[in-house]
Amino acid sequence: MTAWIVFAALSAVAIAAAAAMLVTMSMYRAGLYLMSSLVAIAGLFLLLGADLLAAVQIMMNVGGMMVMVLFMVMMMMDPGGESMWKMKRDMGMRGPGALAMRMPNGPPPADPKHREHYQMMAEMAMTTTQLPWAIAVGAASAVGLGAVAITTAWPLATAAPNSDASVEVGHLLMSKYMIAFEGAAFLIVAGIAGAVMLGKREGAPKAPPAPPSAPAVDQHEHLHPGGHG
Amino acid sequence: MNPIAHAAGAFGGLIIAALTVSFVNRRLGGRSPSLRQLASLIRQENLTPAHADRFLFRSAPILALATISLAALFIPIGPRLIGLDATTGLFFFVVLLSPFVVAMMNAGWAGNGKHGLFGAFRAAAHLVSYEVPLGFAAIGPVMSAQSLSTTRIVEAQSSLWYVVWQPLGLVLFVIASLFASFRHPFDLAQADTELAGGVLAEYSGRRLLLFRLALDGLFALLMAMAVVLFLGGWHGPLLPGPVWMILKTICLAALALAMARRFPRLGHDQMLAFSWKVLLPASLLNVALVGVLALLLPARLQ
Repeated sequence: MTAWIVFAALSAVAIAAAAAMLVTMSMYRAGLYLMSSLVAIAGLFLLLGADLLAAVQIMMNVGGMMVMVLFMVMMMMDPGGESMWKMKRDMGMRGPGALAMRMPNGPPPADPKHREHYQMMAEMAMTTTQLPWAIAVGAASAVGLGAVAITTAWPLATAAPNSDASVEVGHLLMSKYMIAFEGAAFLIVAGIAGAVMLGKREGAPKAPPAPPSAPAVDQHEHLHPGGHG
Repeated sequence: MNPIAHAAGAFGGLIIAALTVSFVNRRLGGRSPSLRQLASLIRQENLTPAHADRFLFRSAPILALATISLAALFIPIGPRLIGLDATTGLFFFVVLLSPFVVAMMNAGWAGNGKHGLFGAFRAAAHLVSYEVPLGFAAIGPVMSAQSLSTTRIVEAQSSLWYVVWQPLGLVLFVIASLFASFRHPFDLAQADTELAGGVLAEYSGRRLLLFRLALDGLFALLMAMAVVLFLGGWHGPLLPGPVWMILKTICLAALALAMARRFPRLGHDQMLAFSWKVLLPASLLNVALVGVLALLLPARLQ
């Protein structure tokens, strides 16, 4: 009975947080809602006795991915959603939060202040015109999956759950899935090397800048490194 | 015992440990508030800045303290004296360090101030640089004990503490702990003289008290975990186990704080360079070294 209550509560949190992520205007809050949804799913894993999976879920999705997402969001324009909110108000779009945001498809408003927001909106609208269709398709597949889950006669497992899954996972990674595991390592190293390569400033001076007595042409070359082919 | 008693025990132990760290640091000449100053925070006005994100601002200290209290459940004080004896206890402990950073980021973001926002950026950038060395330093004892359970790791050290043949691991773990709990040489995200308190800039009163307890408590927990991993946990002659555990933790915390005071505060770029160019290669070397030694050393010594 307790398990059912915990299951219902965690599922409600996961779904509500995912829905709130779609509705909120603030990108930072959207990131946090996604994080809460993923943490609630980790709670579901715990409920199923898969504590290793729950820990991995929190580590990868909260620790690694989401902190980086929030970090990048804070670098963007308008992470708190305030000017988006004003834009929506000026364009007279009624409805719940970001769900009511849509591409402006009429003539620009007469008021020049509103027209400024109109242009911003056209450039950085966070939504597409297909949103209602996407919602419809998503709802239909959710209903379909639910129907399949309810109508299928699931076989009951007889084996007891493993109390120390980490040992099992370790053995599998070092035997059956070793090639995939090591291949992933190579892939990640290649990715890191590529990121460093791209991150290096192009044309950064290799030697210290020329002394003041050097001819002016040299300084010009430093400013436009690609100019001479 | 029932889970509520375990949770209450972990929380109470955490608060006492945090106050002890604050006291020890003050005795050593650090910039920690005295107990009286901390107590006066209870009566101080609880300010919320104008245009703050109120929910995040108010929930951040509670989130910080809650994640730390959860992490405290996985530290064994004595034989069978542990909040939650999970088979993957150490992994859970390391995992719970990242929601703490989320709380720090929320605090800096929600305060609607420049200093807090800078602190939040720094906290997030530092997470990626200390998490890897911290995890790699903890892998040494895991390889030797062949378990992620914190009690198993302590039991495996009954004949020889891991610090004897993994000293590099202990040093790396302590440095990464200072990093992870935003303490002195690595306290750029919440430094009071450098960034007007950084993440904590807008906090006052009880919320500031909660945050200070969470930060000190996190450091105490990391030191306790270092004792569990490298210094034999509750093992020791004459005295009962929990006393040994507490004594070792306090000594290690005092040593770490005293050593940390000998270094100037590192700049942001220096911290990242130190982490990626020194700590990470050293921790990889430690893993390789421990792997070879674990195969060579006779089993009774391990």
